[in-house]
Amino acid sequence: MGALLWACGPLPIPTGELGNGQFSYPCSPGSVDTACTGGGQAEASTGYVDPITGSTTTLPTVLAVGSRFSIDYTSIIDGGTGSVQGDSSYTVSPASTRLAELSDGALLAKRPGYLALLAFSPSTASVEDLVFVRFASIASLTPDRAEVSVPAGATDTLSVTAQDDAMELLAGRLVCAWTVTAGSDKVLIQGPNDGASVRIEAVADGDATLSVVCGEQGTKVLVHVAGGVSVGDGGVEAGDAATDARRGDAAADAREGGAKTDAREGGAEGGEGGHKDASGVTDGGKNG
Amino acid sequence: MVERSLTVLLGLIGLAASTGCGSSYTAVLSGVTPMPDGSSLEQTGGHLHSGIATAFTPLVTMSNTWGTHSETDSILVSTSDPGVLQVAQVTGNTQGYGTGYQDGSGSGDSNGGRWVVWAIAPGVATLTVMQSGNVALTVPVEVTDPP
Repeated sequence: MGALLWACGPLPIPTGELGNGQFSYPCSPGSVDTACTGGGQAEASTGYVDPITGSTTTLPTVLAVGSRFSIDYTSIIDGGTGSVQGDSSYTVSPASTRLAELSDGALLAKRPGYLALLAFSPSTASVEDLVFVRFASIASLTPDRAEVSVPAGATDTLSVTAQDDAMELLAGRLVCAWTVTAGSDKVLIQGPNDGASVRIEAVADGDATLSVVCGEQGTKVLVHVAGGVSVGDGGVEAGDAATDARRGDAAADAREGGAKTDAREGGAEGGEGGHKDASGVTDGGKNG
Repeated sequence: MVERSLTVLLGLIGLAASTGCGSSYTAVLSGVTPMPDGSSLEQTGGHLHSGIATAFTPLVTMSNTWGTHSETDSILVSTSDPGVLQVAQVTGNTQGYGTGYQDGSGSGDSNGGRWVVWAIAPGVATLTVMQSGNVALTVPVEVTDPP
């Protein structure tokens, strides 16, 4: 299949150090990675971007320690393909597991430094090509918005990016932990809370603080929840269709007297109890 | 008289050939590919950081009483400690990395092919280049974690 795609698609340009193959950086749909644009599409200023897979032949300059990433390989010798998962004719393996290791189907960057990724041909026990990636520790996190207003009943998505000590933007799928550290009766986390972004739902008027920790660094986002959502309200910042649909639901809830919110607040009476409930939601969203 | 001298000479040649007398093997690491972090691999020794790899072409020369010539077959590169340093042959093209035989003959990039070595974990290992079991070069390599 890989050979067929290779035969029909553009001729791979060697990007490996040995000139035998092309390494590319695939983007996972829905995941947040500064090397990729929205929708899982890779961003490449000079390299080729595959319109179907979103992968780019321009590898990120530097990846965050603690992040996950993948590297694919296409041989210009025989058109065979490879990945870090070793499920193709070639296997892309880190030269040392001291710097990165396979984790959940991707490579997990473990410590700062350069790492060679080797394209092995398992059938010949030889190496066809190699490429270097660089890892740097996260020195700071920057939220996309330090402060956000969300109408009660609406949802929004918050995200962070990571920089190294030279303020260079770090690529890779960050592994983070988001928690509501204050006002957990005002805001709930929806879904996974272990990536660079998190979806929140505003459930009651007031202020809440979300804390996020990625590696050894953390930051906070202040969330103001005020007023219910009305049709045409421009205050909801998340803009995808799903959010708009949810906003519609939330607006309906709000018009109906906030039954949805009240139901959630029922378990949040007394403040501390609400915090525990919110934490429960947060913990339940963790995927490891 | 001449016949007897030739017999003696041929006998000496046969003896030398059968014992390998006077033959020595040397090798140079040609076309060592760049390493981005200051790691190095040279004839006399190497210092690699964990996770770094480099490719090279070992150029082996055999010298004896009758002269020198390049050895292109049966070249093997090995490591004394695969837990520290690993090595494998490179498949595919060798374009741009051959530098020619040491005696100036040949086109260069067919001399034994390329190999790649990579650093696994801190420690010291010896990289050995052999031709048909004859050691041509040993390179002590120290591996440390990146700073």
